Amino acid sequence: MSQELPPQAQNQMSQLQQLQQQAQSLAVQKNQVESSQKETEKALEELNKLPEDATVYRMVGNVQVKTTRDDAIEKLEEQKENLSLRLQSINRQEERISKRFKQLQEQLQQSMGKQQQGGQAQ
Amino acid sequence: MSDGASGKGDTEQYFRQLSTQYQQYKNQLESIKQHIDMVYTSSEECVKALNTIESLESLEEGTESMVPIGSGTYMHAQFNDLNRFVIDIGAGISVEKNREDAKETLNKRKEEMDNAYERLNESYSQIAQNMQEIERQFNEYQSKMQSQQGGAYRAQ
Repeated sequence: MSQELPPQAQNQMSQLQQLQQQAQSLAVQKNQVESSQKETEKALEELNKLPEDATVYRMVGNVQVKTTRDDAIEKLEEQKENLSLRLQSINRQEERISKRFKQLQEQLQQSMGKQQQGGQAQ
Repeated sequence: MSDGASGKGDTEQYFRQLSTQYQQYKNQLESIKQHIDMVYTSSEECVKALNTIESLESLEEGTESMVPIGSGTYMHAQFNDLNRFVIDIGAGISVEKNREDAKETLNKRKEEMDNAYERLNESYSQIAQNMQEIERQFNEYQSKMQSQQGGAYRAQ
């Protein structure tokens, strides 16, 4: 079917497919970031319940390093902030992709309409 | 099948939608099944950890043990403190707890996992039921079509 499409429409179609793949990959990333966010919030909730002198370990690479409760809280707050920024960036990318997708869809419909009109005129 | 479906075109459209919905349910079911397995494993791990803590209660400090380092290989070690446990709370953080607090945390975690397991199983059954209903409609439609075709052949 795609062989019957004019080159412009074919190009638009492949761009649409690429955008769809990008949107899928972004959705996976968003899911991962959101789940990390939840995990961080839950860990923070646990840490805040502990006494100040509690013994806490933080994973550094493959080893557990002893730290204080407050230091762990600080690190997790930082992590939470970074995750939130990443989520904002993903949301912005998603909006951009969705806008471009709609634009391309309209252009493709126009190209197809022109092709149909051309076919009828012949 | 909906009563409003009039004509062959509408029926075909209805079954096309139903077929898409069936595929979506199938994907959902696979994803839920994976979650159920994960939650079940986590709950079992809680039980294992709780049993280990309880089994260690009768030991004395200084008891010799062996630590697994992978591939069925162990190193000798000694229990210096049988009342302190380190529990992972997620996000790369672990917390030291005494025996009772560790048990409480693990019991709470197990309860959360068991609740999630129940909820997931309910969703699983609901979706499986919806799929069965779609299958029933398909079978009904198929036998209706077959009997119509049979009638047409006999008429010839």
